[in-house]
Amino acid sequence: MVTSRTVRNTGWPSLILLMMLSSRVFSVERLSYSEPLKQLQYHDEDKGLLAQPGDQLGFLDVYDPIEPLNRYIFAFDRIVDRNLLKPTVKLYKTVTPVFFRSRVSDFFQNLKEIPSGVNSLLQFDIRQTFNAMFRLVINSTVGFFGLFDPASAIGLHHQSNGFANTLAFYGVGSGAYLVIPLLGPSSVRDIAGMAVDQQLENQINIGNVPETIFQQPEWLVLYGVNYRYTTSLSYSDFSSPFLYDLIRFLYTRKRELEVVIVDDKSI
Amino acid sequence: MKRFFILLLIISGELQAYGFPISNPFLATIIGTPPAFRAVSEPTTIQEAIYGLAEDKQHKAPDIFWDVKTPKFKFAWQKNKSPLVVIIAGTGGRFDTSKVEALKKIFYQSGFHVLQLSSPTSYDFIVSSSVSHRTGLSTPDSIDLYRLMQQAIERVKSSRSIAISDYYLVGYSLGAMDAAFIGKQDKDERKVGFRRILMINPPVYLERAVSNLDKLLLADVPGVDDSTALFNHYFDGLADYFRHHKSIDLEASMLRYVEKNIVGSSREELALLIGMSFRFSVAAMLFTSNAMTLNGKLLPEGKRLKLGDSRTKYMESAMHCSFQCYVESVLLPAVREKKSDTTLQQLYTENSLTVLADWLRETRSIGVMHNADDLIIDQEGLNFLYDTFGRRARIYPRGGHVGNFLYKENVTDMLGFFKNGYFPDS
Repeated sequence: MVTSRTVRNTGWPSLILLMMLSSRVFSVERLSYSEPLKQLQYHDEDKGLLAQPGDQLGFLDVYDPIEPLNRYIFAFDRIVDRNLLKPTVKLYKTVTPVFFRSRVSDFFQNLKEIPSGVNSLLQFDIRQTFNAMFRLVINSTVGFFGLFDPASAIGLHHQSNGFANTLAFYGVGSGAYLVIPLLGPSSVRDIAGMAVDQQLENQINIGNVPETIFQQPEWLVLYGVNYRYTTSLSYSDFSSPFLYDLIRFLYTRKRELEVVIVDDKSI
Repeated sequence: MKRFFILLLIISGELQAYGFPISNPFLATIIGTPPAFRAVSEPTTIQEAIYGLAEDKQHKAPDIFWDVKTPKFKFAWQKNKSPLVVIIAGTGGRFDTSKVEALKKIFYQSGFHVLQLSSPTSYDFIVSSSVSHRTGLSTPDSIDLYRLMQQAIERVKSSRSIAISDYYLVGYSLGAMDAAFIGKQDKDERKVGFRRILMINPPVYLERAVSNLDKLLLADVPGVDDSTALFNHYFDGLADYFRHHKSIDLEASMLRYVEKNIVGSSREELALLIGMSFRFSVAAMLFTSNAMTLNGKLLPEGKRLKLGDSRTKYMESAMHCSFQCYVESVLLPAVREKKSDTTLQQLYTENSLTVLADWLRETRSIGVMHNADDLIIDQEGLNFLYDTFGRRARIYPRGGHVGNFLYKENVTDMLGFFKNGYFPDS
């Protein structure tokens, strides 16, 4: 009885339901186009982005007085990266376990706490100075000469800082854009800073490691391989005839952002 | 009354059935499918390599193209006898662009050999594989692509001991339209013999796609009157973010910033980003074709660029050429070299999906997946897909332009079509 009443009482709603079900089963339901372009507010035809010749893409400009030389070195770097560095890193990844590679990268990173600490001090960043000092002490002792990174586990994370940032802190501009053989994009300020940092590491010569690296070829190779291994970006990630311009733009703006943090601490 | 509500619930359930989470088509186009909504992928070791066809090296190309003189492609192989799927990249994309890599993972995990090819509009293809070095029209491009495809298949067959059971073809965006043209050609010439072909978000009317994409740069964002203002608009925000957060890890915090701010952007801001990135692809096409053909449209006539020569000013002036400008100044003259009385309208018509209408209607082995909110089509184009493909068209309510192809339901449909020749539940 109940069933028959249900059937009798199903009025127009059930009919719709039936129609919907049948449309679902027996034919393709058609959606209408949602007209996304009509949802936008527009400028006049001649006022759009890049519609005027006066829109000169100024944001792409970078001071690059030795561009022709830079472009040759850039091509050289790409060839070396493709034919030597990347295959080497691939081999490195095949023949060593990830545990080994992490120990190597932790070990070399530990050395970088020295320039990081000294430069943080020069920038009056006491918090970062202590961060770098504690990291160096903890990782060099508990972390077995820097092979492990227990400092990160207790919340002291590595922050790279260098003399290039210190120069920026004291108002030195980046200078000309440079492409360095093997190292890639840089600037006068950045490469000078890098040289000072390296000198600093060599002078302090913690555990004789920096000295050893530069005197023994097998250490130097491991240092270089690790350097490339820890660099995530690859030239071949981009496919464009404007690769040089793109990398120059990205490098310069990235450095500007990094310097923003340093600059803000200056008085 | 109660029953009426239940009915409402059913109806709304019916409408909500497709669970792709992003309803803003501009946002979907940019960020794609959020990881939590993607089809589950198992960690698989992919056996793969990049191959070069050294015998076809373009020795005459200017030195600045040293890295792309040899046609290249990527191939991932299975141990056992398996079907092979060829993937064609979308506008400007190289064979290993992120969307192609994502498709590769899907098909590889389902047991396909995967052959990845660059879009004819990509930098490397224009230099190494296009006969005219002027690409963007599916009719001539598909001829080049079909030839490259056959060479690539021959190459992998001769260099690896693999067994192929069947051939499949898939493309997205412009690559999807290329796939249809290749499908037609393959039907006539039978050199590969594709068992099934799937198009993901193809343009339908080329002219519509071109004008829609160009129009995005007209979007009105207050305070953004030129490209530098657009850049500063985002860069200043990023710098402020860094000032506030004194960020430790630049890359991670940049990602967080971008995620937060892209999601919070207005439709107009997103439209400008899509328009700019598309314009950048067109500029690369314009520059590459000009530097190859030396016809004096962008570079001084006959100028062969050397490795050390600056390209910055050419890039900047190329960025001022819209897609329509590219069609009129590069593609139309190229077509007229062969057929001098071709009109612009004919060029658009002959390179739209509609020119294949009869073949698409009767060919049961070709299907299409598209979105009702895709930026590159219109109502007329959507009608064409419904009318022509019938049940071989699967139209989703959301997803923007190629934003939802990794969504689990889309992946099920994609694999279902290849397996059965129809979409599940249709």
